[in-house]
Amino acid sequence: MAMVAPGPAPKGGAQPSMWLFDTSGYVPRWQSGEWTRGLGWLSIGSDAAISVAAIAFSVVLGVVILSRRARVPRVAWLFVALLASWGIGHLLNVVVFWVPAYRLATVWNVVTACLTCATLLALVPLVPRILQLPSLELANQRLKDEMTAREAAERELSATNRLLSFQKHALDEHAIVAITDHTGTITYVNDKFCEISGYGREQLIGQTHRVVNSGEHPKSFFVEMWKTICAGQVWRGEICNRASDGRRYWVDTTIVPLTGADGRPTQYVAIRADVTARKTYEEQLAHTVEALRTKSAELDRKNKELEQFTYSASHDLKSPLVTILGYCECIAEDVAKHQFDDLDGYVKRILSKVEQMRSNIDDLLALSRIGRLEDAREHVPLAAVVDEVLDLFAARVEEAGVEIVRSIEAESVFAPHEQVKQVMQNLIENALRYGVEAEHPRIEIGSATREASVEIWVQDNGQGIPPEYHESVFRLFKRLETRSEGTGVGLAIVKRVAETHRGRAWVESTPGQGACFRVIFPFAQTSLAEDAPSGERTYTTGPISPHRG
Amino acid sequence: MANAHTRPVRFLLIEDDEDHAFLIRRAMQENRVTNALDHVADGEAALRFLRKSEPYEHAKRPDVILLDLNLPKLDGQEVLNAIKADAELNTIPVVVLTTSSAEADRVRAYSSGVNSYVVKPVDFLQFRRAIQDLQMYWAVLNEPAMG
Repeated sequence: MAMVAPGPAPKGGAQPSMWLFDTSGYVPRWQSGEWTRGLGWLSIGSDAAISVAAIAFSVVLGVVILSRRARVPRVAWLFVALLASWGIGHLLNVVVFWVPAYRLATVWNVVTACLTCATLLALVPLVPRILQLPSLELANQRLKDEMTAREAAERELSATNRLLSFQKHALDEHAIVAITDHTGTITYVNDKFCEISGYGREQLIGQTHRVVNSGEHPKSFFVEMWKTICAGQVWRGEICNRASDGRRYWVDTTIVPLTGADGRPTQYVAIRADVTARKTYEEQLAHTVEALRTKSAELDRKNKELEQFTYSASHDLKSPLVTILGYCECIAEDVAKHQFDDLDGYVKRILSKVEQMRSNIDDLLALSRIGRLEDAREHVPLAAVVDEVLDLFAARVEEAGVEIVRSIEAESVFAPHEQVKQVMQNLIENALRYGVEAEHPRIEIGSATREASVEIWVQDNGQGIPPEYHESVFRLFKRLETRSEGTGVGLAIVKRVAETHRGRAWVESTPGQGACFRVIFPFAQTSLAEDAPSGERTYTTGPISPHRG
Repeated sequence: MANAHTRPVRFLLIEDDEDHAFLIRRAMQENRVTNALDHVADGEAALRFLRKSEPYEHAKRPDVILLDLNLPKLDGQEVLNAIKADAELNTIPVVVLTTSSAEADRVRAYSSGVNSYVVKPVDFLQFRRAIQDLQMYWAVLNEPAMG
C-alpha cells in the first residue's frame, strides 16, 4: 500500500496492513473527551443506523441493476459503491468508540471521498440527459397516444383490405385476369380465364400463355409486347387466343408490370375483356365493305358501258338519218331544177340507209333482250348448236371454200338456248366475214372444260386483229373494216351474253395469223339462279338494258 | 378576196361514210369558190395521205382538214392527236365534222387543238350551209398558214 499516513512512522519490521490496524498511540473515543453516556450512545446508534441503511441500500440497488436486462449506465455502479462505502465509513465511526482504529477510519474516509468525487464527475455530463427525461405521466400519455394511432391505422388497414377484396371481386366479375411471374409463368388465373379458355386452373398455373396461343399473331407481335412490359411500361392490345377446344377468341388486353425496388418487373398482371363478338362484326363489316367495293366497281364499269352504248347508239342511229335527209334535200333541189338523172340513185341510197337503221334497231333490241335474260337456262348441246349455225351459213362456207374443223370436247353449256346460238352464230359469222382471206380458209370451232367453266372458241386464219383493237372490237357498232356488211353489234352481243352469265369474252390474235375468239361460261351459276324465285327464270341482274334506262 | 383568186383552197376530207362524203362534196360544188377536195375513208389512210406514204406518194398537202370523229381502224381523235403531234402537219387547220354533239367529244377535240367543230346537223340545209361557211371562212378570210 502506497498510503502515507500522518503520525509516527511504523516501527521497524511492521507490515503496512498491520500499520493500518495498529491502534497504539490512540485511545477509544469513549475515553477521549467528556462523553456523556447519552450523547455517546446517540452518536453510536445514529452511525449504526446510517451504516446499515446505506449498505442495505447499496445491496438493493445492486440487485435491481443486475435484474434489469436493459443496459444501465456505469454511474449506477458508482452509486452502489458509494453507498456501500458510506455504510462502512459510518460502521467504522461506531467501532472507534471501543477500538481506536483511527488509521483505518481515516483511510476509509479517503476512499469514500474519492468515490464521492468520482460519482460527481461521472454524473455531471449526464445532467442534460437527465433533465430531458420525460415525466412518467408524459411518457404514459405518449404511449397511450401511440396505441390509439396504431388502432386507427389497423382499422384503416382492415377497411382497405375489405375494399381491395371487393374490388378484386368486381374485377373478377368483369374481366379475365391472370398474374405471371417475371418469366411469364402463370401464378394466378381467375374463374373467367378458366371459363373462356376451357382449361382448368391446375392446367394453367405453372404454364406460360403459350397454352392459349392461336398462332394468329406473328412472333414480332409478342416480341414487341415483351419489350414494352420488360421496360416497366403498360402494354395494351388485342390478342387472338385459342381455347382448349380449338375455338378462337379475341381479348382486349392490358398488361401492367409490377416493379420491384430495383425498378425491374417482378410480376405482370394481365386484365382482359372478351371482344370476340366485336371482332366478328368487324370482320363481317370488312367483308361487306369489300363486297360493296366490288359492286361499286362493277357499277362503274356498267356505267361506262352504258355511256359507251348511248354514245354509239346516238351516233350510229343519227348517222343514217343525216344521210337520208341529205339525199332528200338533193332530190328536192334536183326536182326543182327538173334534173331527174340521179334521182334513182338517191332513192336507192335512202332505202339502203333506212334498211341499215332498221337492222341497227333490231340488233339493239336483241342486245337489250340479253340483259333481261328472260329465257330459261338449260344444258345446251354445243355440237347441235354448231350444226344448226353451220346450216345457216352453208352457202357462204361452200362459196368461200372454207374448211371447218370441229373439236367439241365440252358437250354442253348451261344457258338459254337462244343465247348460246347467238354466240355461236356471231362468232362464226365474224370469222366468215373477216377471217377467210387466206389462201386456204379454215375455221376451227371448239369447246373444252376449263377450271369450273366451259370455254368455247372460234379460230380463223384470216388477217388477224392488231392488239390495239382487241378490246374495242367488242364495242357496240365498232367495225374495223370500212366496207363491212356487219352492223357492229355481233361481238357486242357475244360479250353481253358471256358477262350476263358471269363469264367473259376476249380475242387472241397476231396480225397476219388469224384470230381466235374465246368465250368462258362458268359452271357456278347458282348465285344467278338465287337472284330469282325458283321456277321463275326472270333474272333481274345483268348488263345494261337500254329499255330499262 | 385577194387570196381567193390566187390559188384554189385544198381540202382533205377524212370520212368513212361514202354517203356523207358524197353529200359534202356536192355541198362544196354548189359553192362558187374554186376549191379542191381529196377524200380518204379511214384514219390510217388519212395519215398515210398526209405523210405522202404509199399509195399516196403524189398527194398534195391540204390547206384544211375536214375530219370525221367516228372512223374505223384509227378513230378521229387518234388521227387528230397524230396530226397535232407531227411538226410537219400540226400547222394545218383541222375542222371536226361529226354527228356527235357529246360534250366530252367536243372538249377532247378542242383540247387537242382543233380549229373548228361542226356537228353534222340532221337538217341537211343547215349542214350544207355549215360546210359552205367553212369553205368561205378558210378560203377567203384565212391565209393558209404555210405555202
